[in-house]
Amino acid sequence: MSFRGTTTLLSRATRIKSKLQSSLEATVLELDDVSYQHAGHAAMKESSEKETHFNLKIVSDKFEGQSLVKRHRMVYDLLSDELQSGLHALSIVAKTPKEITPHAK
Amino acid sequence: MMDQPENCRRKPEFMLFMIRLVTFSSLDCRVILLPLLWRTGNRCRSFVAPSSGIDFFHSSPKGNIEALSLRVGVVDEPDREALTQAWKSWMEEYIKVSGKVPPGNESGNVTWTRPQPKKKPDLRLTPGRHVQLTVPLEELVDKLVKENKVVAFIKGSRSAPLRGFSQKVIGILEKEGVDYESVNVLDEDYNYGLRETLKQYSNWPTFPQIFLNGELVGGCDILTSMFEKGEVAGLFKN
Repeated sequence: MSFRGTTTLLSRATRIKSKLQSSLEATVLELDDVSYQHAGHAAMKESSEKETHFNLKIVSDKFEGQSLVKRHRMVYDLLSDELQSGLHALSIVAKTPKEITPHAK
Repeated sequence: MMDQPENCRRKPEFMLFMIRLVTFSSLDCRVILLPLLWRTGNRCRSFVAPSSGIDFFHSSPKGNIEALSLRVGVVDEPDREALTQAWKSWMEEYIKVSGKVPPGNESGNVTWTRPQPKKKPDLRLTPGRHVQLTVPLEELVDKLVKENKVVAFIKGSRSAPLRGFSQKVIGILEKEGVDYESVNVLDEDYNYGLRETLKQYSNWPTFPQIFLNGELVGGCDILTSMFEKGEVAGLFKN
């Protein structure tokens, strides 16, 4: 079952959000497109691509008990298609619900 | 600012030197010379600097040094601003008279400045592109991360990291005084193909990548988060 035809009409940001949301059941998901901050550097100058660099903040129960590396890998694995089609870098903050509550230690 | 006679014995805290020197060292042929002395076969240089910038007696080039003339100025209020102003006005004077910058001050001439502490060189995976590898690159990577406690794969060299995330990572490692090895993933001569190989090896799509005891710790985000929690020294330095 392939919806490739329709998904490519959506922006990368939308695709990323929906993939992460459905797989990780995130309670918080903030995605910022910061491609403009990297527009100057060499590799980007030649490309006319947009949506190449993002900052992601994601909170999910599924990160419980996982090291930071494992959490980031989970995210990267879900986004491997994007990473191969022009997503250049993703800055990730991945926490569990417990970690973001103010009185949590 | 007062000019003092050359044989003055007083050692003020901040002094400005204008030194014209003759050196007899054969190592200094790259210095541009004043025309007058060139004719007589001697090599000569002039240099103007605030005294904090010179390590005159310790970093002098090999060979004999003889001062032809010494102009000494004493700065009364020893603050950086005053010293810099004095330095600027002497430079301007010199340039006005001679038409150019004193040879010893030319950019790139570091003979008279305090030597920088030497930084470790970046590690290289291969001896060069022209050499046929007998083992796959992935194996070389594996060996490298297992033989060295901390390895940072970065974009650029450790002395000149090229991208923001790589710069940040080097900044943290340096700040915490971690003893680490660095590998420039953009070096196409000695690390050709490394980027793709490393992405597969680590199962991690981006750079920089930091390894500890043969395992991937993460990239810039993770290292930054550890740094903010004060975990870096404890983890990387034992």
